Amino acid sequence: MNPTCPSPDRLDAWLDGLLPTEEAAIFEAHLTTCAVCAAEVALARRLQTALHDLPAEPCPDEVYNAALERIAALDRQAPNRQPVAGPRKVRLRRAAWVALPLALALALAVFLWPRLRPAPEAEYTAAEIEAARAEVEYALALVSEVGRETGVFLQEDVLAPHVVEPVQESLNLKD
Amino acid sequence: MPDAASRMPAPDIVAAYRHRVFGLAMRLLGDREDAADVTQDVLVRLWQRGGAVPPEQQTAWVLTVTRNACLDVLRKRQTRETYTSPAHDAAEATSMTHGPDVLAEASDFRARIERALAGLSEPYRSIVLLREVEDHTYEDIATAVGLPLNTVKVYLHRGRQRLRDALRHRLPAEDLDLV
Repeated sequence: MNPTCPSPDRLDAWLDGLLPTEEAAIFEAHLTTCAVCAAEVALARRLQTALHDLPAEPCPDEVYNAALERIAALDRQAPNRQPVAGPRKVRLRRAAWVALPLALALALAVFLWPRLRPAPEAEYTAAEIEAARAEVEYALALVSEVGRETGVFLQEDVLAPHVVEPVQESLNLKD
Repeated sequence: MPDAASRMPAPDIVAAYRHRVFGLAMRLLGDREDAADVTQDVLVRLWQRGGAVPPEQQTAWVLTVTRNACLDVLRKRQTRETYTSPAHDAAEATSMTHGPDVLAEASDFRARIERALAGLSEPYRSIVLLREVEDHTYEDIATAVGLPLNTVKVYLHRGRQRLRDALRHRLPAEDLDLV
């Protein structure tokens, strides 16, 4: 292209009929004198036509019928309230990414706090100890529930070497 | 989830979109089996949720769900490191559909275009496909690819430019004098 040639985006705009009348006339006049732009327009037109004419693949009947069978099965399972298994899984999996770290952080915080900041037992009331125990139970229950719903489980042999022990080591708490 | 009364009967809404969904999946994935799986999933979701989508937004919704499902499949393929070029598969599928006798000059040009199209990265490929091949509105495309309208127009221009660049290098000079 020459420095005086219209930019390629003007070519596309002209092809789409989006150039203002005056600019379109200037562009068309330019095409009569510029072989480079004329060739570019020829290629663009041929490409546009070929893309438009690409054959469409029709949906095979067996695919359509399989979808209808799945729909009929879902309808039989819950005729008045359709299940939302797919999207629900997605939501739960997303929730798991948030809930699991939060629950683990909470459990670890409660687990490690007395070791990080040892304090006389007298500083904790029975109510505070009970509240901490309840928080741990809640965190573990949340981990368990999310795992059950999503199929993502944290095994003891994963939790200990990959989460608890590294934290203990980094804090010089091991043994 | 719409209740049964507000849903279009399953065969109607599913039939209305079956070809568009499969066609787009086929173009994006280049594999009949994967396209069939995606189509089934999308049609079921369409039946489950389509009734809750306003009619004027239904096409964009279908395009969005279909494209996202296809991108998921492509990501899984790359993860498995068994990705094969959709262009190769598409060309193969075309040749299987139409037979070797039809693969004349026009088909050759078409195969080159399909290869060039498959060589485009996302979202250029989806935008070019949806606009140039499937003739969807800019508004529906913007929704489908999750980009602002003006960005879609810019990307369409770049996608076209990249296709032209790819074809210019592959086409003999005399082919450009046809128009």
